[in-house]
Amino acid sequence: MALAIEMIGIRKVFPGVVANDNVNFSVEEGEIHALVGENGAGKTTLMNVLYGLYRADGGMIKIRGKEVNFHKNADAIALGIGMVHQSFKLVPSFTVAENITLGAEPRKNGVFIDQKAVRESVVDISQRFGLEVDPDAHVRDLPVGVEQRVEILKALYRSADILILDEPTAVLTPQETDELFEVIRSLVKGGKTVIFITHKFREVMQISDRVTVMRDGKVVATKNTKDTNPTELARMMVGRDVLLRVSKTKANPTNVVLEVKHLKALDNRFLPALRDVSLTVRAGEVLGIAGVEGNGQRELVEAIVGLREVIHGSIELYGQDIAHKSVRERRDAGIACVPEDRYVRGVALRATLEDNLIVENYNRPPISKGQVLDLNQIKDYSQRLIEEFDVRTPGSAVPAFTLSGGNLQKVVLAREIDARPKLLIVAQPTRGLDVGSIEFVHRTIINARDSGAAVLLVSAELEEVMSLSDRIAVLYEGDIVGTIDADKATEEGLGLWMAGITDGHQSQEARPAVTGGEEVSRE
Amino acid sequence: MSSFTLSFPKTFRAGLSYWLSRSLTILLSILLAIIVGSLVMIWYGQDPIEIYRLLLSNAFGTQRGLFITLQRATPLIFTAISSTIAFRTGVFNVGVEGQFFIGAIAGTYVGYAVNLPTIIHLPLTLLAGFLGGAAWAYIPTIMRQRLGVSEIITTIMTNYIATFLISWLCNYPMRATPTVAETPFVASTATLPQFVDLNPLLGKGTQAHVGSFIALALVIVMWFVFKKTKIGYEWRMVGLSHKFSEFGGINLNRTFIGGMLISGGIAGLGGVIEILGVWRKYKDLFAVGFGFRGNLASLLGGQTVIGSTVAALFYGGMESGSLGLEWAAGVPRQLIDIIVGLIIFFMAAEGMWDFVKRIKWTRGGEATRRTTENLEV
Amino acid sequence: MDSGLIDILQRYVFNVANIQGMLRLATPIILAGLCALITDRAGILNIAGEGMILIGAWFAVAGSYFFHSSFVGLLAAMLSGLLVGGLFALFSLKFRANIIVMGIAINIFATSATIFLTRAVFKVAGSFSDPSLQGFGPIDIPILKDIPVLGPILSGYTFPVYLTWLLVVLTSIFLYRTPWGLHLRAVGENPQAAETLGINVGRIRFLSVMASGVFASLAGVYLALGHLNGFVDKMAAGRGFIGMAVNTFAGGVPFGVFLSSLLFGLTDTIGFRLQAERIIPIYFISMLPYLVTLAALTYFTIRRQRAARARVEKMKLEKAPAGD
Repeated sequence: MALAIEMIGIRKVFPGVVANDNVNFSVEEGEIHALVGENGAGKTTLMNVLYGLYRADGGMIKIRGKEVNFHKNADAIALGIGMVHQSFKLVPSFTVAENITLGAEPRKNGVFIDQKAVRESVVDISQRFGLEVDPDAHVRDLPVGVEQRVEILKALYRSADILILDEPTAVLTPQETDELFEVIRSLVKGGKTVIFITHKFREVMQISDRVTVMRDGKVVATKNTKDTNPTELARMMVGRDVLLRVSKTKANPTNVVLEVKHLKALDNRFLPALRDVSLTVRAGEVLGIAGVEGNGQRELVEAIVGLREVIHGSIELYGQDIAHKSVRERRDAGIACVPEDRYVRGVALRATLEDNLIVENYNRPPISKGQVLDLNQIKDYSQRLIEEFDVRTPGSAVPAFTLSGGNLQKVVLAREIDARPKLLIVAQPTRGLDVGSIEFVHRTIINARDSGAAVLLVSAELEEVMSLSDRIAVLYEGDIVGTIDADKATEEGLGLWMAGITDGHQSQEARPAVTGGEEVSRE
Repeated sequence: MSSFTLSFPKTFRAGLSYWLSRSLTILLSILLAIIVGSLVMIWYGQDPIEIYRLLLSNAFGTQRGLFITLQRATPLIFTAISSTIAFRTGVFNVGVEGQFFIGAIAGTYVGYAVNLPTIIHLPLTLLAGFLGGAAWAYIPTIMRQRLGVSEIITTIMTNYIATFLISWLCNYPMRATPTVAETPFVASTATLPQFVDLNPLLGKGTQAHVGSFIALALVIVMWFVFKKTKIGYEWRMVGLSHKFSEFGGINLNRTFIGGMLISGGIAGLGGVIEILGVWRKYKDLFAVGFGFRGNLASLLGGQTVIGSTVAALFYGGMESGSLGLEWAAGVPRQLIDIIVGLIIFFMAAEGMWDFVKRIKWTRGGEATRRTTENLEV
Repeated sequence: MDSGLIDILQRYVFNVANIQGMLRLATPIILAGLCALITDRAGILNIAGEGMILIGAWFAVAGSYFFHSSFVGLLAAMLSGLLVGGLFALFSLKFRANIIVMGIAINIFATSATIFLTRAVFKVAGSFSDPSLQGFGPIDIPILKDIPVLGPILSGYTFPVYLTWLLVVLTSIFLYRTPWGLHLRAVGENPQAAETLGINVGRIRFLSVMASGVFASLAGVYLALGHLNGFVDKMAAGRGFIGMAVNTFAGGVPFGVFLSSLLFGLTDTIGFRLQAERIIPIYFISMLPYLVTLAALTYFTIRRQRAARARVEKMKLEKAPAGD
């Protein structure tokens, strides 16, 4: 079969990071090609190079056998490449038709927009590919699934025949995902080629013809989908057969530290993100929250830490409801958190390490007395933490952005753990870290547990959740579908829960495992 | 210094190259402005070298020049530090201009309307100025904090409201004489003495006044606040990253409101000190431009307390020098304003000087990046 | 007092002379409003309008004085607008200078530069006017001028006034009927969307700043050649900022800019008369545009927030769903 795309030896460097390192990637005409890898593996960068948004620092791109050189992304569009980004690029106050035709509007007399032709061509193209939209609706009023359809139509309108979909299912409900897959299949039948970026194996197996796995900016392998299986894909993606099992003793849980009851919260679009979440964490245990990203994990952490409004329900720390207290009050009550967005929430990149390290305790002795900060104490304190947590840095007064990701995560851990929290929340703690740092982070989390903290671990890496947790709860569409002791959990069983299937064998065992006398009640 | 470890030279070098490239940028900006300014002077039929010599000697070369520099710089130190506080908490306070007016008029009122011994009257008058400026900053602050309305638009609006409000006050309720739109003189119990009042030889022929000491005290206090206090830490962190500060438990609203009010208060304090030291009464429209020039001085000084102060002194020096030039050589003082303006243009234009940074960092292959990230304005 | 007010309104507001005055005085405000609008819609906060008006006014006077033609003055001003706008765009968009800082600097710079140029070129200080300076004369539109009421209201203005009306219409057509207008609005609302569709965001923003320079310079032309016939230091007198107020108040819509400028032009015309009648001091009327804009900003934002809040409340009421 003819090659639609051939990318040879692509290299792309960002300051401090090699995002793509000698990547070879090819897609055949008329196939659905899945591109998988962990966050930060370089998938999106590679596609942005293909789409002309980034210029590669090295390598060659061939489209249908012809070498091309994109100066701007209009060049890529002209050659029939279309991309649907993970975050949609739509103009909210424009109509669907205006959004679809933007940048390539049919004209009248050369200077005016031909409104009739705009509408007609949108109706025409949406009928031709069976993607129903109301051309006159304003985009700001549309649900996400329809917005995505508008995005696909945008590409089709520009007669794209190579379509890149960047994690298209991340924002969709299962039904919408099924609909999207139907659309993709019909597109391919109509002669299009589709590149499908994802990190969900189920989708790879379900939809793709071939699959390319990326890790750390390199391509690991390209396979026919029917010749591979999720386990193999997982192994290639994480680059190790079994995750380094953390050596830990059995948990010795004592009294209840955190009790969340019937928690309800909204996401940034004011849609329900947590519907009715109840969970309990005891001192000396790790409760792992597993689940596909975007099922409410982020909102759960933010609600407990105090960054997101609690609409309904309670969050009790040692029996005291803290659901409506400020972040500072919660921190002072003994909550610490290693946040998911290390570079946004975890550190202030332009601030020095010292300033980053004292944000938790700057308001009390010995760091400050009255209103005045003790600079010597700050220096000593920072240097102690830097040493204890083995942060590789030339000094404590350098700005945070000079450090690598792993070292920054150590800075965050050092700060949060040195606060001796009663409840430690860790969200996606090893994302984007090298193996050495991962080990360190894992050991630190277990140490915190053993010294008596209650640990709530949220991670998209199932292996990580399984190896660190004492109990595992699975979050699906804003609900806990089940909780189970880690030593009874299997990857398959958790996988079913993560897909929202609750009538499996595990759930019956799971319910009693929910400790703390809580009733999982549903109206 | 004692531990010359392997890691030490690295930070040292990074810091050095940062300061080198920054100093070089400033130097080149000034140089470029001087060159452009020289061309204008030659066109105007003047000898640039002579003019620059006169400018400097008038600003810094004589006792009188120095005192005028000091007097001119004093209000700018207040407005520049006011801007700096706002900048550091992540806000662009374009309203320093209006806050300066309101502080001045509030202080003037307390200055002439009440009768008290100096020890109470003077502090009370200064306090009135501070509170006036803070109150005027309150409106845009609350509009941004509660409604999320850009403080830039609202402060521009409140500047003009302040201008007209004060024009009305000077023309109607507070007017002292039928001929001129100005208020009565403040009582002698509220004035800040000029140096000539203290010693006839000190700053003869100038209006330099002891308010400069208050400016100096402010510089020291604010430097200390930023460097060594909790509130200063909160300001710095909020300015550097909202999201990090929020996560760390810093009360964003309190920090932001506090920062804005203190910024406004300091602008107002600058206004009242200018009245009490130099003018002794509020003359309609006397103060136009102090706030805006403070904004620019803060930027010139890299949005640090010390830097802003140096920039304000430089600004004051240029004004003092250009006044002298106008008297001595008949050169319009606007010519110097033009040169200062050019310096600001060139300094603000970071992108012009990218080649300076590249001098230092030739090793790291710089990726040409065309992303949507650098589109934000 | 009340009947007095009605009397005043009849005498001073609702008569032909006042409507003419309103349309005249609104002209520079409309142009300043369009200057703010064209950048605002491209997502740029341009506060340099004030300075660009001043520079435009100066070059209008210089062009007209040296070439004895008001149209050369117009042309000179427009060129200066393009140049200043271009430099502003170059520094703030290409050289990454903070756009607010650049705006403030340009405003201060323009004041000094025009004062200096007046002294250097015309050898006078403060203001410059000369009999050989060609201003724009009133244009009587045939037929229209003879219609009662309508004639005097719509006919007999100087060229820049008619040009301004035309520009309002053209700007509106440009924004809503042409592809480039659509692109400009897309750039202002979601630059990423525009960029991924191959629209050159940087170029559109650059051009919009240049266009704003031209609009501002036309406001200067009107002030210098259609209104005062001469250059006076600081003659922009805050109109650049009123332009921002007008645009904010009108929500970035050209006809809205036109109408709200009329409103503010009206306050200008009747202000002095109301003051003379001791009804209200002029200063409160001058303040009005800014007060009204603040009030409008507050009102619209609160309304938007209420709507968002109502959505959240609805979510709160909704019980936890009973499964799917």
